[in-house]
Amino acid sequence: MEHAYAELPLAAFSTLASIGAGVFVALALAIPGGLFSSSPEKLKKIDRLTAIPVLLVGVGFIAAMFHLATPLNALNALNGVGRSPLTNEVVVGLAFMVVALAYWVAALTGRLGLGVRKALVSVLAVLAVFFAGFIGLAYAIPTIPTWNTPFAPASMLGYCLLGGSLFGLLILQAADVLKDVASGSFKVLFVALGLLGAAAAVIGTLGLFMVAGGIEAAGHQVAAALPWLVGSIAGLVLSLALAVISVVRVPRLGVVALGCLVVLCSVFVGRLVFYALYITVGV
Amino acid sequence: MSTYGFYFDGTRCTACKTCVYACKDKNDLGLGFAYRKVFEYTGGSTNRDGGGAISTDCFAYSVSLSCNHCDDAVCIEVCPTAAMHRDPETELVCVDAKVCIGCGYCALSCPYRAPKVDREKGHSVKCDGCHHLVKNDEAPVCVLACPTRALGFGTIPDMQAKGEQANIAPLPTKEYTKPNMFIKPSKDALPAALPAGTNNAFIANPLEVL
Repeated sequence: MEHAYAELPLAAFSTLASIGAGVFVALALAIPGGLFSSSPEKLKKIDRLTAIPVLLVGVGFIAAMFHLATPLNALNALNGVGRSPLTNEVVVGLAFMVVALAYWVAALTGRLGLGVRKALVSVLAVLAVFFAGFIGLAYAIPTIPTWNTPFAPASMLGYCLLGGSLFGLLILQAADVLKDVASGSFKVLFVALGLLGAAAAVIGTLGLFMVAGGIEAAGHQVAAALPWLVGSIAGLVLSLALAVISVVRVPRLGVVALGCLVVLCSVFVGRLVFYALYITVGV
Repeated sequence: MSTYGFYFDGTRCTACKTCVYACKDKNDLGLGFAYRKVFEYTGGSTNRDGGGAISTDCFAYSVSLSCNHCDDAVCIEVCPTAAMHRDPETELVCVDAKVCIGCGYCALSCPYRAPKVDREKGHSVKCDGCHHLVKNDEAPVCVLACPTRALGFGTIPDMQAKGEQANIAPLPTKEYTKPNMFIKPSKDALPAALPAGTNNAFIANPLEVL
């Protein structure tokens, strides 16, 4: 796990940013159920609580800065648009962050009409999926066989959807609108979102393990990562269960909050496993 | 495509590491940094057969390695800032310290471990082929220092005439980055991309080079 500890800032970034972004996918699913047609008080609560995903992504970006040797030059990372997978990730991430901040500030100041609200949250949901995918694609480096696979973006998408669904639930429940929006179709869509997220995250993690396991020279790295990998998958499954229970049965804030904590920890551990399984074709 | 490349004669190298220290001296490199490294690769076994005869296939050879200024330089491809670039005059792969953010993608991607982030300096550092010497028709300092003339430097056709594109263990196969390092292998040299554990081969000095 030595390499994982060297990449702690990136593990924090990819965890917080993907989960934070995914919250907007969950919120977008609640729009048809009347998310933004709630009472003005509830709407205000939703807007205040939208600080959670904005902060998650923001803190993620700040964490990523600690990875850089010269953070003051960070904007130079935009020089490689279209060429460098890392630049592509940063561009999509910044686009997401700008729209998310604009939406949040405008919503807080009460300047958003219903139509614009719906449109912006839907755009943010789409951007979130792209952002998570591009975080995974940033590791598509041909000399690193364990990272250069579809499993890397798959797990990032999974973390985004599963983590986002739990933190989305947290906002809905804390704003006391979950029971209003939780119609039959919302429940089905939400459970499907959580299932899809968990499946992508678990398949991505197992795929990484499979590829790494096929590299004989990496035996000790794979063995060291195995307990962490098992823990991450167990946590992902548990958080999915907590999300489903909260949507299908009577939701409790404590259960949802526990789910958020579990998903944060299991995604973070999953990311540590990813960095621990950095295996190059070279020396 | 690069104009220049290195040559390494595995039949001459004694792993004395003069190249390593000449480079460290010239570039004023402290502990933990070396732009050129000498990999000591060894393995094999000694066995006694049923009749009591002892045979051995033990081997040991060294590979002096720095940045290979590859034709398909993966460090340039992945660099988000374009700090990793080819010097316009010599086409040697260099770091623009003013642009680099020290994200370490070059270090992660290079299969030869050539670049490394120097957090104190705030950017990636690596062998630049002594391009300022090359511009004055001089050879890089590692080549000048080698007491056995195991290292060479020159235009690609000249280096190609002396050896084959680097494709021996413990290096990766040449297809990944098309390195501009041409090798005359020692008799013991094993092919690149050796399955793990083949002939008990291993890098004997990992703390020094990895």
